[in-house]
Amino acid sequence: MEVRCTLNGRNAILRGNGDERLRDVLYRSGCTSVRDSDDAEGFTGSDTVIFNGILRYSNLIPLVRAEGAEIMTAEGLLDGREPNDVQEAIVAAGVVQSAYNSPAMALVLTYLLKIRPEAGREDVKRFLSGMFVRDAGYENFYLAVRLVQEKRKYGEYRSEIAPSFRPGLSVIGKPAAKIDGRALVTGEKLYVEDRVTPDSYVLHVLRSPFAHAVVRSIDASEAERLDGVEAVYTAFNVPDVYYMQAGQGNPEPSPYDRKLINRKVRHQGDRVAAIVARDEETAMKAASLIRVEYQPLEPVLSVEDAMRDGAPLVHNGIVEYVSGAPDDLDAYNSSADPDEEKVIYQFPLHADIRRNIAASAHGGIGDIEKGFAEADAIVDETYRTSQPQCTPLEPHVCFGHIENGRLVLNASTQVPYHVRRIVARVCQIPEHKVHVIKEKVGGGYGSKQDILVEDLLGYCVWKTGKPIYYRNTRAEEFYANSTRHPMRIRVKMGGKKDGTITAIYMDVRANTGPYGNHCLTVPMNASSKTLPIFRVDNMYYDLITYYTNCPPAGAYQGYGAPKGYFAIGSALGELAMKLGIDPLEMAKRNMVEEGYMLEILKGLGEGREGAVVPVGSCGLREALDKGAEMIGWGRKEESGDPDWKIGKGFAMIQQGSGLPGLDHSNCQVKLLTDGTFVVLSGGADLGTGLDTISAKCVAEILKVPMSDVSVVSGDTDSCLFDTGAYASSGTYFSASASLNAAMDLKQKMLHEAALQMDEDEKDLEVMAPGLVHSVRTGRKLSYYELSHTATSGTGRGALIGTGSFSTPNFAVPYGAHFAQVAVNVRTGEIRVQKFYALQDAGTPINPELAMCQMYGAVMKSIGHTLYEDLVLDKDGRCLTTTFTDYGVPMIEEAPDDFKAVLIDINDQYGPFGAKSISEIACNGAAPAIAMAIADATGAWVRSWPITGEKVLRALGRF
Amino acid sequence: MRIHIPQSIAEAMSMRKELPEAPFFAGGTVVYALGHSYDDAIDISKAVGSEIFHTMRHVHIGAMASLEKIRLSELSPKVLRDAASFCPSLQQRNAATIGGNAAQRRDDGYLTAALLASDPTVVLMTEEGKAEATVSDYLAGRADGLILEFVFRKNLPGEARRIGRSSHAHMAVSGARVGDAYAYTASSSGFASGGKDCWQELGFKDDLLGSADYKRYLLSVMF
Ligand SMILES: Cc1cc2nc3c(=O)[nH]c(=O)nc-3n(C[C@H](O)[C@H](O)[C@H](O)COP(=O)(O)OP(=O)(O)OC[C@H]3O[C@@H](n4cnc5c(N)ncnc54)[C@H](O)[C@@H]3O)c2cc1C
Ligand code: FES
Repeated sequence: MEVRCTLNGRNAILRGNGDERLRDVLYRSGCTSVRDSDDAEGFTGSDTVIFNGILRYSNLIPLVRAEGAEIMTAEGLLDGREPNDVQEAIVAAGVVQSAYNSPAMALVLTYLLKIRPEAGREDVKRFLSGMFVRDAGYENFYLAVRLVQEKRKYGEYRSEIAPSFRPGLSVIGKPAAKIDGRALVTGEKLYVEDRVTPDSYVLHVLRSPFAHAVVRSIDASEAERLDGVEAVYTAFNVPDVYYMQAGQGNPEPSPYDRKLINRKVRHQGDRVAAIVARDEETAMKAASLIRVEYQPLEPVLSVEDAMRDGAPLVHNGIVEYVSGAPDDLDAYNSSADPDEEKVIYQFPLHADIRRNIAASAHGGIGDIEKGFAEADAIVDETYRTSQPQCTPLEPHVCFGHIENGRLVLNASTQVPYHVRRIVARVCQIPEHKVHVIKEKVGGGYGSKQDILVEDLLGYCVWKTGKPIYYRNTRAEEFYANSTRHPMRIRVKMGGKKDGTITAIYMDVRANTGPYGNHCLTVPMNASSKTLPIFRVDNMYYDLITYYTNCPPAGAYQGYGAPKGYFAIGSALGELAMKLGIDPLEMAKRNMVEEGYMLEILKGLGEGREGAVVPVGSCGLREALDKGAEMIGWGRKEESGDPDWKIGKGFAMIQQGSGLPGLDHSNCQVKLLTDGTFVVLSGGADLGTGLDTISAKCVAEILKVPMSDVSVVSGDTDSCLFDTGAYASSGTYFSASASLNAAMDLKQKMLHEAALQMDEDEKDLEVMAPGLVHSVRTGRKLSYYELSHTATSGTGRGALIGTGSFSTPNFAVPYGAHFAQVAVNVRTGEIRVQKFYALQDAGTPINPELAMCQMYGAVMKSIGHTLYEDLVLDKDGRCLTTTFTDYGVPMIEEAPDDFKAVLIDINDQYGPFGAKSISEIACNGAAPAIAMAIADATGAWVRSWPITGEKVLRALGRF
Repeated sequence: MRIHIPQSIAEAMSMRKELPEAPFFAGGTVVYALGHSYDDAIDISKAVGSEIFHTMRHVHIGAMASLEKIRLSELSPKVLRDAASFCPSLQQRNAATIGGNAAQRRDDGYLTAALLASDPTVVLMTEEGKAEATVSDYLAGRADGLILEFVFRKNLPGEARRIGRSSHAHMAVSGARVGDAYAYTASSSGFASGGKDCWQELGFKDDLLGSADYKRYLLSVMF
């Protein structure tokens, strides 16, 4: 049908079926800012439009209702290509990060400021009540509104957007709008879905209804005969290639324990068949025609189930080793089921699949028994964490086609080069046949470090030659994607009356689900990122990761550290309470400081012996002191209502900055013929501002404005190798490569300029705004002249700087998070009143983006701590497949008083003194909130999520 | 889904007679949202009113009035305004209607307890013609039909409360009181109205939102 309406102030005709979702019609009509994040659940607000003067989810409006309507989308905010003042302000405030719904946010705030120009905090909260933000949190949207109001009133922003650092530098450490912010906030076509061509096919995955079963047979013949079906792949016709989906350094510390589609299905939602068809409807029809005979098996749904004697085995195939095979391997394999998929280790992970053990490790220092014997008090408690899902607004998605005999993948990934390697492996083709283009990533948070859809889609495209699009449904995101590893962590901690901790023991039991993605590295972080913050002589950890039939686990911002901190931070609080001393004093007494030799690292290498190094730059003490002062540590707050008790808690935290000795980054910077620059960075910007950091490195070193620099990143054809954006590696590794490339180019430019100017190279310097200057003669040569001559008919060639970065040195960020929580001891309701996150990120290169990273990470952790829960039934089926049922935090859940504070520390290794920022920010909320709840009520809740029901039970209310 | 758009109540009723399986499409936040698929739906936006107005003794709220309109209107009973704000998102409140909410008879319904406690008359169109019912009869399924409006006594005092894990989570329990009249809901466990302790009539059950014991306890301390 044709519907006449007004769209963004102009008469328009929208075409489609009357019952089609207005969102889909608008997107198809060119309003690509109107996106969908929840399959029309009516939750996230990416699809928000102004419809007849009010805010509505366009997914919930059928086209037929748009007849005569006035519709406005974010496209209507633009003047030509120029953003409006609200769009500019939200970029300036740093909240445009992965940005999938940033245009919709701008639309909502524009609408608010139109009807309520003086809008205050409560108004903003109400108008953003239906918008979900995962990356940057909600806090700086209040700032953005204030900035707009100031600009309208005074012609300029008056509020401080973020503090500035390093006065001697021009752009490093200063808030400056993200270089791709404008493109993102205006809704440009930048995401994978925007690349899909009209002739594209769809990939649909038929998934297992059982958590554990053997596929005895599949009859896909009827489906294959259906008109519009191009191909059907099952366990019986995919290649016999083993791999794993974690995008990690090669050789990976994860087992190759899967093929593209396996005979044995190991979780609800595991792949059973892949259908390539003309359209979704045909694919669904084909799926319904496939007859699968399953032999259901008893599922293993927890680490307790997995470790039970006689437990069903999730994997029981032949085990192989690429290196380091044990002598008794043949005997070990004698009980294997040859029909099951193999498990191949690149090197030993101390696994034992015949006991469901995917990996194990242990290590420590000193003598813990002696340590416990010296203690005046000991706590020995077990803490449990749940299975949070990353919930990026843009689900896992990929588009592929064949071009010039090569496989081209438009991917939303954190690891384009691992995608290339793994897809090449499953397709059994060389890497040069695969071109991965990392598009803008609408949220990753670790889940896009795993190659969860590109493997299958890439294979289907390569085999069929068709352009194919795949997008997870939101329900698939929950049950067939990757999540945090659920963990059970026992902490035994002993201490003396004076607050000295004498020994710490951690027994970590992790649940990797059906496959071993990150089964060593993520759980290792529960100890390797927590124990080194303690200056304690006796520490030991045991780690065992188990296979189960739960939904898959994988990487998630912070890896295992948020779980380790929940356990160890809570144990510290419990021990202090038992000893009757202040936990903050106890933390300070036992924390590391710069120069302390980290002997503990020896036993914490990921599958290898770790190097012992001293603590580098460390702002931990300052963070603790400042945070304590801000929150009024030690002062008891009263609510005035006897039911509402108020408590305070804190956590001291650290993380890493990439993986020294394993990670590697490369970058090139080209001088163009007009004297401007293009950066080709291997780093994968996920919206966190890595491209902006690269641009800043070039602008700073070559003394040009940032507007003279463009960045292309994560394109495997045009950019050089980078291990990818994970483990907080972006700033330290990828940006160091950009810095090195800029310095290399500067050297080459000075060399060339010396020849052109007939000067001595040592007399030359670069100066703003893009000149080579001779300190001896005062002569100047513009970059334009330099480049133009270098690339002329008689020139010596184009100028390109290349930089790579790998390092043995650690740049460890530290921090302290403080929470003030109110708990209603009658109803169990919990409210985070104040949250102060203080972090030493070295030099914050993009301070406003760094602060929003902190707000976003803390919000995720508040979610994991208090609300989010992936619930399985007794058969392993996921019951929480919508945002509402799963329970992500919205603006209403954000702390009333929320501050991110950057501790000013200069690191000796990071680029311009920078360290990482975002992962560490996931570590503090759980222990700080748990401690605050205990402070308020006297009750410790030792499992995620800390619900009102658990608090009330702990208080013995029922 | 074929969406039929009657221009009058009579037309809506005759369509419903022809298509007994077709739901009424009011705000569409249920019938047109994820997880629902119908062959036909009857869009009642042109047939049923959304006005909120008052007469000498009563406040009339059209079944198509959105929860946001109810929340903002000074005429709406306070208890209903409280309850309308349990719908956590502005976009959703702008779409969701009071008729659609009541028609689902949900035990985690935003308005269920408030409606029960404030006891409006429900004006319905049935196959036999216009009819009136008490809200408790309607919510208990003893009366049915196309809801046209709710008629409340004027100037009702009262308040509504909810407890859920977060603002956007479904409510574990809710309660409302208007004078001596109380009403409660507990998810998966039903709803009840009457005296302060009428929650005891509920058959509490465990679900994703909490255990039976938890919900029973919460209602025992709600007011
Ligand atoms: C993410 C999300 C979460 C939600 N959570 C909750 C929740 O926790 N609690 C809750 O109560 N609701 C919830 N809802 C549903 C909903 O928004 C409200 O219940 C809303 O009030 C329904 O009204 P509607 O106009 O959108 O109904 P519609 O979707 O249009 O219709 C819903 C039903 O009501 C019937 N109906 C509609 N109007 C009439 C009428 N005038 N006469 C007779 N029958 C009629 C229809 O036949 C249909 O069966 C949620 C919705 C979303 C999107
Ligand atoms: S219904 Fe809002 S993004 Fe899908």
